[in-house]
Amino acid sequence: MDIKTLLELMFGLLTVASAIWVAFTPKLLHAGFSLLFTFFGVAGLYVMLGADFLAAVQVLVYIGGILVLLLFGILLTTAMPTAELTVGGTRRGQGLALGMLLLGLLLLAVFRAGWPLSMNALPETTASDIGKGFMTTWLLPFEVASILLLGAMLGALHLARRAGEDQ
Amino acid sequence: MLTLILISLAKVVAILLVIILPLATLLTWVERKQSAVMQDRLGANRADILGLRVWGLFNIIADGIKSFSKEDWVPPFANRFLFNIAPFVGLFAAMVTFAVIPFGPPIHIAGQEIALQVADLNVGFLYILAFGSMGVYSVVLAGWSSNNKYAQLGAMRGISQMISYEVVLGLALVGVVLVHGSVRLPDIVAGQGEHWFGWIPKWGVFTQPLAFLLFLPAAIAETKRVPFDIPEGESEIIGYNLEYSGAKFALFLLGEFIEIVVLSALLATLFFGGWQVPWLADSGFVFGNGATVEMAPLVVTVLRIASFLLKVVFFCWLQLLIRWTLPRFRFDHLLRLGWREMLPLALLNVVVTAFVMLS
Amino acid sequence: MQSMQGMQFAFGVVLMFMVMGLLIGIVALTLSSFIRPHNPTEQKLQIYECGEEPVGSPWMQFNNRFYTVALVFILFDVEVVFLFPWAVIFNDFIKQGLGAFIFAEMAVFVGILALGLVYAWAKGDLEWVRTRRFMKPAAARKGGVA
Repeated sequence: MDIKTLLELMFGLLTVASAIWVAFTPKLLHAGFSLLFTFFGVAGLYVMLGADFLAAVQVLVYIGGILVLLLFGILLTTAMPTAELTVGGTRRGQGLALGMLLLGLLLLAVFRAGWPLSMNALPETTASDIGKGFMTTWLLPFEVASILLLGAMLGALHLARRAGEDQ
Repeated sequence: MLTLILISLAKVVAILLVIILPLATLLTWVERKQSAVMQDRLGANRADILGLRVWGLFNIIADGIKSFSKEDWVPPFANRFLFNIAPFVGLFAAMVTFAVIPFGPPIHIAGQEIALQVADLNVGFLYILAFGSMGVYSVVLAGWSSNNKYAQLGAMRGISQMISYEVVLGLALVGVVLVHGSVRLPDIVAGQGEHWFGWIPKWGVFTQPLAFLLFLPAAIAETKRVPFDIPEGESEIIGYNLEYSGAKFALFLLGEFIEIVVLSALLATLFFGGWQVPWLADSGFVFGNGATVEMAPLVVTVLRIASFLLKVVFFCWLQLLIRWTLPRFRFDHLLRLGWREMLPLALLNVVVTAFVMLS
Repeated sequence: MQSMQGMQFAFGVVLMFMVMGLLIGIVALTLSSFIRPHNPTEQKLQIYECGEEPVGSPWMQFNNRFYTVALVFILFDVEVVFLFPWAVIFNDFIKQGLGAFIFAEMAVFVGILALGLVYAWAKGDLEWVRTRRFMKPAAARKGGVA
């Protein structure tokens, strides 16, 4: 086994193990910190696949942004950080159903993808290729992404303000 | 392959043990001495070895021995594991950024080209931002695991401040990327080696003056030092690391000084030409009026590395100067400055830069 | 200039750098564990609040403005990420004569997100002392500092 396979396995293991910990630990904040390792593992997998730009973005946005927001939410809520999560029977069933649905969707996507092998050489700098893609082929999704982001932020701000004024 | 790995390992060790750590520990002394000079005091001068004092330089050793022989006290009410890893995370996030900074031109030894940079990442800029943002975790972990009101409060303020200024930092960098059309740091440095009219170097500070003016305060806010020391505020809430003592507290402090060194290196690389010396080409000095001074390649290389180190030392000094000159911000002022003044300016900078390039 | 192997090798070196960086901290702490005393006393084990007896849990209610700041941050964090690839290719597109085209595309993108900033600004989410109207006049003058 060469060092590359070893690293790939290591990152994969890190991702899966920490994700399982996120799902099963009863402590909310531990789940949050464990998610950090999941994101980091995924970033490592991106590097192994040659997607350096994506790997950096993964760390920047998920670890440096979204997880901070999550932890912030937990820390800001009184008594939440030390709270133990107890999940009842019906909720467990609902979660399982939702998880299965998601798994099914993912599997469908995996099997329908076909995985064509590109004969072209890999791009030297992924950043400029991604930029070109955004500005030409994927222009519409790119602009729609901004509207989606805006909508999400407006909604979240609205909810946060409501919660604040209730106090 | 093996030689490549060995060379890389040598570079890693050299960067850590020759540049970062000595400079950071030296800064602990410089800070005390410089603040003393600014406040008309003598400063650290007591430590001596056999009556030899050398301006108090031995105080560094004394400080080191003292902090590492202190009791390492973990509060029983703290979350032990998270409490212990917090200082490491801080140190880690501060140090790792240095991996992509080129500190000299590529050199040739035995027919092999060696880049004077630990790792030449194609996405160097994003890497800097990504690991800069990880500094938040040391604050969160320390504040949360300490289980102390003041530590919590410090952590809250710390996160808010760091994420607010991270946006400004990123947008200021977009301006620099626009000018050079690359996110690779060696490209940025190479681009800054050119001149306008043969005289004015195309340094980032001249091509992107507003970006520089935004980057400097935003980056100081990331290091959490005066005037942005609200998360620590030693005269009010003490801060996220108040339950720490001994060696672990020293690690926090070391992390802070490493951040100063890294930030200086970043400023030098992005806005002051990195290892470039004005008018110095590969063959020697070439001035705007056509005059040239021939130089051996070795001399050129040494000059360039020296210029990088000189710039780093200058910016370390500048940061200490700022730290001992300005008073602390108030928290609402801090957020207003970040979101309502610097962020719109940073957006404007991107748009104006793009517009100027277009016309 | 780099192949995929080169890129991965560079990241490998970064990983090496990370491990070395962590090692320095670990070695320092281990060395110090040989010489430092260990002597916990009852006073030492208390929460440090300048000698006062701690009152209540450290889990207090924080100003939820902290959270709105983090929300706006995410928006701009993602925006910066989108801006980087655009900034890299901008010069190439100008050379191809498409500069105005992609300038407009990015202007729309940034403009839509700037709307979010304008909204948060207008609604007062970026003002720290907005809680004023829930307070008594005397408290309001001092300002609601978290």
